[in-house]
Amino acid sequence: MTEIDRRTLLAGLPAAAAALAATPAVATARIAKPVYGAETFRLANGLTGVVIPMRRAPVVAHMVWYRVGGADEPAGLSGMAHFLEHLMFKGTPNIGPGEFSRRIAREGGRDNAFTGHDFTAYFQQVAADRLELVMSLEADRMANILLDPKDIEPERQVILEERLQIIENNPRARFRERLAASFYLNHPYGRPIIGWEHEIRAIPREALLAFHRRFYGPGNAILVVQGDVTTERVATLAERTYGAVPASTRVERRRPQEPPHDGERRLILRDARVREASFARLYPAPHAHASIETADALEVLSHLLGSGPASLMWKALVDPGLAATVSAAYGGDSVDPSEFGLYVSPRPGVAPEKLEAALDDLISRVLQDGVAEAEVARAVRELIAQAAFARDSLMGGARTIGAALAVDLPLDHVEYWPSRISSVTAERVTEAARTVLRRDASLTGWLVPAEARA
Amino acid sequence: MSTPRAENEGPAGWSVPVQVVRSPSGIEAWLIEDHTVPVVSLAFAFAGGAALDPPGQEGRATLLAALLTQGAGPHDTAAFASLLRERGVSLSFEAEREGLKGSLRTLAEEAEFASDMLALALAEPRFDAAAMERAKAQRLITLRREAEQPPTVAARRWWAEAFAGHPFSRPAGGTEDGVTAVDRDSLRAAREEQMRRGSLVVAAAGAIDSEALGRMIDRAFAASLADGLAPAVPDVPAPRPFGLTVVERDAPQAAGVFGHGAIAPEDPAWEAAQIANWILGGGGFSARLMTEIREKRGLTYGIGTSLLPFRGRGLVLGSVSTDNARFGETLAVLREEWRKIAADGPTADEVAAGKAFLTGSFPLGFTSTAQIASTLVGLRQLGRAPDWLSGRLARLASVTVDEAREVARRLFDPEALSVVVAGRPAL
Repeated sequence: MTEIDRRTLLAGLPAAAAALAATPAVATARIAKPVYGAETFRLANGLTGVVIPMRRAPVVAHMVWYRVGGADEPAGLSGMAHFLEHLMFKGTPNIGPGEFSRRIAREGGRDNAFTGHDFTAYFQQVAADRLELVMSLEADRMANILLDPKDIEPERQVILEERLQIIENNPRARFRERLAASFYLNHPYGRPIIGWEHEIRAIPREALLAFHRRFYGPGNAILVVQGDVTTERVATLAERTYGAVPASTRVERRRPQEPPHDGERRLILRDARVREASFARLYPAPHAHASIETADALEVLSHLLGSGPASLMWKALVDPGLAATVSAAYGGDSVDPSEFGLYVSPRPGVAPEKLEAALDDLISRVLQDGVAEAEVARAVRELIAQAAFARDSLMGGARTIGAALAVDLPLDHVEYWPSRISSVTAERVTEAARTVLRRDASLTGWLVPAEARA
Repeated sequence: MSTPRAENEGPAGWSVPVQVVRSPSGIEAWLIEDHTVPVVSLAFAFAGGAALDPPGQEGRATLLAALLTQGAGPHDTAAFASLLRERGVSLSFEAEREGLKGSLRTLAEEAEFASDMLALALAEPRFDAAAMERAKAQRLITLRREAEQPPTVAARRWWAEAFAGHPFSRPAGGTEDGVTAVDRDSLRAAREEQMRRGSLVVAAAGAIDSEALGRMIDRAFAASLADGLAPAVPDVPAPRPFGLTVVERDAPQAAGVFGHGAIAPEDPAWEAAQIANWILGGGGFSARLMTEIREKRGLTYGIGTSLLPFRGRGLVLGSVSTDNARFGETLAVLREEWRKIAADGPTADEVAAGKAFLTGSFPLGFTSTAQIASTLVGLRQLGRAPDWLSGRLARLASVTVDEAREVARRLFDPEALSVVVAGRPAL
């Protein structure tokens, strides 16, 4: 699932893959240790707090994650979670429209926000001695959003321009959007986070206000602070700022669920702007909440299939000259089950059916013979070798932990990820592959030049 | 709430001590040592880059950068990649307009292994036929995908118009014809020509002391590079003003790229120019362009400008995307704001805000080892002195309102503002 930014598009990685990119430790002893050593606390009004100490520079990253995203919108109002994210910068009785970001900049800080299907997050990066200020500003808009109609309409135009820029003007992004819409039969993960154009135009103020009232309370939020600060200090400041917001409870998220995917499906999108085709294959996949063992095995499977020149897809498609690039993606850190995806850019001039046949042949072999122990061992080593780098950035940890907690996974899910991944065996990966890579439940997508056939 | 940060206040008691390290073999490196996390990042650059691509081989440096990590010595592409990945080492190269940059990130305990792999990539890249064909195909696909997107189309045309006749007129990533023409011999020639010890600058950050860094650098570079210098790149000329150019494209939204020449990074008013640029277009939601064009009128998702430094030459360059039908309005507001800041300069409050942001946010640029090493190497490419960083807060703080107004007059020239629009804009 992708998430979209207030200003720019973030890399469209599934949550789990994003966690990996930031993450591991080589020595066995290190694998058993928590990746971040984060600490938590809770306020009486329901707010969860997480602190990740990091002392390289006298700065902090401050994030608030709400357990609400595009998949929580009522049908017909797609784009509302993201619209509300934009409007959170339009002021409260205490701060004027647009003043929020100007105030942060004036304090030498940066701020932004982003929306996913399962969460909405706001963040600032500031000098450590400015933490209380950003906490009080964030607490203010948690409690007191205005949503003045005169600010809503220009922002609606901004979002329509954003949609043109990040989707309609980019054939590959438009392909991914239409692919998701085709893949999900019933679950709102099939809706674009930014919303369909006609629905963005129709979102009323009252719905936005009700959405904020329902989801933007301390009991439905997770505060994550990373940087040059102690847990005691963050807890004290949080009490002083967020502590004044009236208590709220966690919102139970019950979305329409997917029925079984019966029957192989195909989407062919022709686009006159495109000269080189793109291929995608999506399969329904269980998430970490359903089975952590399967989710870990799928993470290893996705790595050994599609990551780097030693991967199986590379050997089957790139080495023989059929494909220029290959990748696999799986995001198990989600509220509801999502997808396992395989992506290929064919080499110029390669017939689509030839490439697809080679991929299907690879998958058949994986399912029939199982994956080799050596492949799994290599993938595991590569994956966990990244864990040591997880703390080498200001906000990486806050981002990874926030994304996990916002979908109701426990902190340990992130902290002990390396030891779980290192216990994945070839049997488990093979079993997960046999469960998920079922052709008769899949969607195959082709983006092709307007005049070509697929 | 605490009081707003005073404009001359840097982060208290914090500094960025740059060590100048000389390796046993005599290679100089800048280092910011930090043992918070057991990670070391190395950044390095060779002068030249895409500017050295011969006519007809546009994209040669970019292909060289790609091929350097696609097999070296006894290891083919897959073996080389696996060796690095299993020990958590990242190594990559990238060609820019006037440099070939590299970056290496490793656990401190793997620093020697990482240096040896870098040395192998520099000294014995294989340029296997299959890897070459693959890299060329990947590059062609990337170029064709970029051509689908109006912002890239507009940017390429901007550089082509502004720098006609100079290597900067050509895209660093190459052209379809240029990439097609590159072969193994041309890559060997590119390596021979460009990757010279005399053209190398190196910087590092992270959990390593100066002695260990000296050893690491010698392992990586002392025996892997030929002596001497890369050929000189012709001085970057002043960009030619060209008014307005429209590249017709079927797209729902038009993309514009705009700018002109600016004061050089060597100019004493460089910090004042950073402040002026922040006020007009560089300051995100604090900037005039964002306020007028996005916040007040809803004409775009984003508009911004950057001050780009090259040796002896600066550029102010911005971009914006707006629905075709409303593009004329965006352009009119843009031109008016450009005119206003040049004529009237920024207000005292804007200058104070700009200084507060640029000084207060300074430590945010020093939070990951890769980012720190890359910043240091960028400064070395510009020929900055090692104390440039430690003096930066004081220089910013000393800029007066009058100086900021004066530099705004020099920096922004509404007559020279040159615009490319890709799309079908109503103008």
